Amino acid sequence: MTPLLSVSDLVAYRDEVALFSPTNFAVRLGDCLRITGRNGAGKTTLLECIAGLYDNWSGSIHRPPGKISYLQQTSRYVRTLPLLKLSRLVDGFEESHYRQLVENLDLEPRQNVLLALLSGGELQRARLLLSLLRHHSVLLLDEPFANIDISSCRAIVGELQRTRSHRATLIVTHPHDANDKLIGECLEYALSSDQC
Amino acid sequence: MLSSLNGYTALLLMPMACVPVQRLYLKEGQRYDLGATTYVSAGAFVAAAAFAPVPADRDVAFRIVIVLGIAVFAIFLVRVFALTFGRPADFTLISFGQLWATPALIGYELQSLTRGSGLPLQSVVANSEPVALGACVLAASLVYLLNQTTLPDRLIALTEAPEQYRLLFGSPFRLALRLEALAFGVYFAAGTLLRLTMNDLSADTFGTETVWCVLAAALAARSTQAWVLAGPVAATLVRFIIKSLVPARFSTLTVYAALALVLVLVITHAQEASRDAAA
Repeated sequence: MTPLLSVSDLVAYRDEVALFSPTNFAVRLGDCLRITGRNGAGKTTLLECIAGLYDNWSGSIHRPPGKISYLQQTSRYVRTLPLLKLSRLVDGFEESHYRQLVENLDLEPRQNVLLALLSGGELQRARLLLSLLRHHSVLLLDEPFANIDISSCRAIVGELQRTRSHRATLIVTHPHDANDKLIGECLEYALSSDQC
Repeated sequence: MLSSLNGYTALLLMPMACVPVQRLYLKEGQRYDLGATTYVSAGAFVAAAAFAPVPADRDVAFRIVIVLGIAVFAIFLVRVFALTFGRPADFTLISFGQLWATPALIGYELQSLTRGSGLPLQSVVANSEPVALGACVLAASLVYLLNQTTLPDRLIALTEAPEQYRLLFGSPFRLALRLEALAFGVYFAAGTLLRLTMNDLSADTFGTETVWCVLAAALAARSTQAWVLAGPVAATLVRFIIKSLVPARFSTLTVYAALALVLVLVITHAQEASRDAAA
């Protein structure tokens, strides 16, 4: 099967310094690739390169013809709209898909509450819902389990597992994230800066 | 009641016409958009030229069209690109510059036109009250219709998180283009109405009246229900007081000083509101 996304000799630079050594991987439909690395190794930058948000890199990235959806780690997100209104803005919004996701991620009672008033776990599930709502073939997740409780974690993993075969998933986590075992079978890639 | 207002009709009418777009750009007093003057001036000029009973001097008219076209195009681009990157706060600076420069520029050009070509300064509509009432109804309808679309929510999303908008909701440039086209259409129409209802298009009057209209619109856009009228009425009252108490040769200066004071107060208030929202 042809890879959906492949990365060859990718090196990202910040202030002309390479963040990580040349990186190579490829993912196919249904694959889940877990990317690990210490703090500052460039995991988020790697995802930003793939998502087209960061330009200072060399090597090659072959992106899929379909869209990439990206759940960022950043705290800059829309806060003053409720999930229901925000969802309707998503490119390719479908009511039935939204209803299903709201139910699976246990957000039904909170869909009319401003995002700023949601708890950490609810907010992370809401942000994942928005990412899943958009039509995509590759899903990028930047530390999706950071600072959330086990029930939110299970809801997120459950939804990801249910629809795993529809996409390729890249998850960035820390090397010893306790929640990783919930993800299930995943390919591994350790981001290294040894050669920089 | 409107007929007793005579020359003040435009002051009530203009804000009402501009409010739909002004409201769109505002959320909890965080943003301050006065970038209407260029578009309003363009509408007023086009209406003035279109309703001229005698052919305008072609050279003068051509020069004005060039100046106006460049001004409108430049402002349109600057505003579209500012919004594309989610920074409508920049509008404050842009608009402040516009507010000072454009009425004077367009006013000067209009005066040149009238002197050079005999374009009339008088109102072209004998009875302006029906026009004013019609504009209010249209503005109210537009506010209602805009609220039925996703445009207000999209604008909020873009300004709060431009990167997230690009990742999830579509092209910020396309949204900015749509919003700016809407703003241009509404403000241009407001300028046309201004020409239809104002009795004096001389440089001094046109410049200061436009400033009052835009200021009143900005205040009205921050209000709801009946309070929408507070901005126009307050602007009319302050204008009346200045014109009554201040000697004519200082009145323009006082108008601009009052405007600067209001701008400072509103911007300060907006920053406080922004801090409160962040807290």
